[in-house]
Amino acid sequence: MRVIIIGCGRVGARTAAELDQRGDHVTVIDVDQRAFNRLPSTFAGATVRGSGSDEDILRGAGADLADLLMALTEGDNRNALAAQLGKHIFGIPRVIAKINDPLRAEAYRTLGLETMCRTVILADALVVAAVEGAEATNGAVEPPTAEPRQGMPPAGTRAAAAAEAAIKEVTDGDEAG
Amino acid sequence: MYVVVIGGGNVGYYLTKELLAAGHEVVMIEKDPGRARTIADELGSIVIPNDGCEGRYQAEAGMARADVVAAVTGDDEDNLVACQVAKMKFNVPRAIARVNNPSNEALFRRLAIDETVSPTRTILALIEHEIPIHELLHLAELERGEVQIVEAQLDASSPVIGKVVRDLELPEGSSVAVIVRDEHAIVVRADTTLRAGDKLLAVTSAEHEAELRSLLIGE
Amino acid sequence: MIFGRREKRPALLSFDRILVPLAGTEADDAALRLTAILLAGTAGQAFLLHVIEIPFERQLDAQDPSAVAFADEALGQGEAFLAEHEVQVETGIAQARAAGAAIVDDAVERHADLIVMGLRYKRRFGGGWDAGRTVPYVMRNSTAPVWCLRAETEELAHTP
Repeated sequence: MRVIIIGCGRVGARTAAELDQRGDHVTVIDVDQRAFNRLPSTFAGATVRGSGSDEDILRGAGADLADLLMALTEGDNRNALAAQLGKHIFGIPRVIAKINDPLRAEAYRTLGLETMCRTVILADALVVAAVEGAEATNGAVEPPTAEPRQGMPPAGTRAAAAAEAAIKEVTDGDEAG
Repeated sequence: MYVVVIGGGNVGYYLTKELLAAGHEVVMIEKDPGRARTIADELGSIVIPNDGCEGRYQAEAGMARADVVAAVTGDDEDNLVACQVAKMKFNVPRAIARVNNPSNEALFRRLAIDETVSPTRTILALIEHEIPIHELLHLAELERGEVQIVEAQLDASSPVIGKVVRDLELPEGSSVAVIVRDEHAIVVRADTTLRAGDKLLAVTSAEHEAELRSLLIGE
Repeated sequence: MIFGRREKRPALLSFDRILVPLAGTEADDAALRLTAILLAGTAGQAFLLHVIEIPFERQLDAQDPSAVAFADEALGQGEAFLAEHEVQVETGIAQARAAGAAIVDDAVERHADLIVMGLRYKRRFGGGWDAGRTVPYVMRNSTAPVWCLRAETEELAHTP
């Protein structure tokens, strides 16, 4: 699959790296040269410095042959423009735009764009984590893998009372068993 | 008319002033609170200090009853989104977008933005007017680009020198409206002979422009 | 009444026309009381003004009977109070996009020599004092002097 990713921030870089590792043909576009430092040294795809909203840059990045375009910059509007450029000028079959404003995202879905709305995804996951626990969020919120070694919490705090109760439970158990 | 102007930079500010002077009802949406306050102090309580791309603030600006929305910020993407939201959510009859990057114009037209204004292209056309070039010079586009008014300068190498207008094999939908010769405009007649140095003002469609160009200017 | 009818009023506190914008809330009380003190038994006049703010979604001259009824109520109460204290009073309703601008313009038109406004105590989320839009606008833009009376509040009583 030929993929163009606009925006080499943390999300764009990680997505690019994983698709590249799966064997897809990835081109990443960013206005800032330093952004490409986020890519792993093993990255085998292409990088283009420039604006992903510029038709000439997109053409140079292979938009005419791309199967998928992902617009992942920090600007909702830039992503909407780039995605529509990809869809309407270059005829790219699938375009995904990161649009963090839920209302705008909904509007652009009626115009043929796939949208990722960080606001909704994260808020929804956090509510599920709060109500049902991290395990219910399918990896969006992850429980701790270990607890740190520590001494007693300060006296009089809820944490201290909980620790004392836990110790008591264990020592009572020892006496009984 | 009720006009919503998005963007309170120089263009938005002067546009709003002119519209008010002409007696129209205008609301401006400008993101920067300081700028919004400065303009409101001068033009009155007609500035909403918020992001004009958001449906919520467009609603507050009464976009539902607007006749025209003019998105004139300095960023093409903001102008595009503002116009699209206005049309999608509020069915505004006319959306006009300022386009700074001329190569975005094609996209905007395709996305049903009714009219685009590209200052870059306008200035470019003015500059090129002084420089003879071997292309058709775009003077105006009407009907969303379907009708083009172009200017062709016939130099000695033009394939139609010496031909009469009647014998030109003009592409479909094209016609020569005016010939400018020695700085005078002459009315085109079927038996008018074309000479080197003539400037032809022609009407054509986007589809047949290339054909017209080869006919009048050659390869 | 503080000043008897026949006492000579000190020149410092003599006003011919006082514009009193009424919001229709308890903030108006202090403004009306001060106006009564200033004008009782004098030849000065009070103008009570209620501005109906029309959002952009509606045309500026749109009719809103419930808003007009609210205005009439507020103005009626204010007028009755001032009449009781022997103040000459007139009332009016205006419709505008923003009350502040309407108030400033009205003061100019009537040649008011003082504007007296009441303000409730309000806080924003995060604790900052919220003066609203209207009073600051009038403060910034009025040519006539502006006296703003802030109502009492229980909120501040809860500081530790």
